[in-house]
Amino acid sequence: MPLDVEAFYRKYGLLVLCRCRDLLGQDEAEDAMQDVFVQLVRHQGRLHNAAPSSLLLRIATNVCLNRIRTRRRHPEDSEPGLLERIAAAPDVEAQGAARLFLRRVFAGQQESTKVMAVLHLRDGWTLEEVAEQTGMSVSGVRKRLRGLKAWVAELEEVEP
Amino acid sequence: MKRDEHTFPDWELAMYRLDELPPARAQTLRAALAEDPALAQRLAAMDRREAELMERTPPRVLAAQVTERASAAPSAPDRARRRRKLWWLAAELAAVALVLVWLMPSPIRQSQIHPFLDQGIREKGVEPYLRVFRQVPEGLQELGPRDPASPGAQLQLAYAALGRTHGAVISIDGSGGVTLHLPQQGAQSKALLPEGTVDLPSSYVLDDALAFERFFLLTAREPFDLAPALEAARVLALDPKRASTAPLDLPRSINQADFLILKATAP
Repeated sequence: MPLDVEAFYRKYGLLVLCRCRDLLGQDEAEDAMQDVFVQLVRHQGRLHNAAPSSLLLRIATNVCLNRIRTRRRHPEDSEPGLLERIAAAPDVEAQGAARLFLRRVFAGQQESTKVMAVLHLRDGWTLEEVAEQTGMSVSGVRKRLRGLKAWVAELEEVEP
Repeated sequence: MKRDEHTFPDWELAMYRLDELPPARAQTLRAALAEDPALAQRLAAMDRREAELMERTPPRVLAAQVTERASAAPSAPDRARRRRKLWWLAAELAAVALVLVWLMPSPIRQSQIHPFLDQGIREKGVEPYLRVFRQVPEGLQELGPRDPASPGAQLQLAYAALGRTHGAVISIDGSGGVTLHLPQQGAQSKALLPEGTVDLPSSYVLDDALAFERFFLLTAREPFDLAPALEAARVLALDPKRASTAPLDLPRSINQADFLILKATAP
């Protein structure tokens, strides 16, 4: 049965828009919101309805990180902030993990480390809250974040 | 920067309002709401904000746009299969190119060092065109179409508008990404210098997206909106079969010139 986009948007549109605005700012938020629903439609066959808002939050975070990563490809831009560093971080899971992200999320498998990093390092969620959101153990979240946190910290030491 | 644990962004309020915030986080927010009238007011304002969003972008309109965009590209597994093919093709081409480079007497041809630039001498007929240079220790090395470049390479682009007065430079990559290079932001094309070869104001670092980066120089004699051009680029980028060869689906009044860079494996 095709996904009822109108119903999902009515219920979750504001949540997705707020998340995109929080990460990207006003100008890009509505475009990014539409990208999130496009991703949802493309992967509807694997969608399980347990917690749609959690799933949409993760897709939205990932869509925004990809947009931020694109912005950062111009080295003359201003100094990168935390989000830019996370977005540009080398993938600690495997090459191409960003491309595998949706497949993993929808298959109920591994969560993107970068999304976890945004929730913990930027949004201020505790490891326990991130674990609850992603369905992983606290030690699992800690382990997954270790490499990325080290990379972000290293950048902070190197850059003025 | 770590946020104060009692500072809750709007999206958390929206999740809480849906009763879908993780329980531990919801408990923290509930406690904060009891103590902070301003936070409670923000929560109460969510209904109004949602109504405004639905009025600004009605559900039927958004659903139609989303469905159209979602059907414009193949499914993710198809894309993944095609990307794997592209990746192998790129790897094979890169290997051939590396052998050719190794056979050359000098790794950098002096004529390709960018002094800058042989203003307008290097005319390629009557159509606008792009030139792409890679930063090397000796200066800038000009790349040819389909030349390989490694992730991390810093590229400088230049355009020759050949009489066209307005334009934009957009790239798509083998992972479906789209980047606007000129102008770097805004909704309209940029006024171009119609004569000579002109550097783009900033250089560009090649990332590790799969297979290729394809740059488009779009030019016209009148200003044009960027939104249709970016949308056409997004659609093409998500079609692996056509992304490295087909033109953007744009009006004929907008001239297109492209330049394909193949991704070499990182050293």
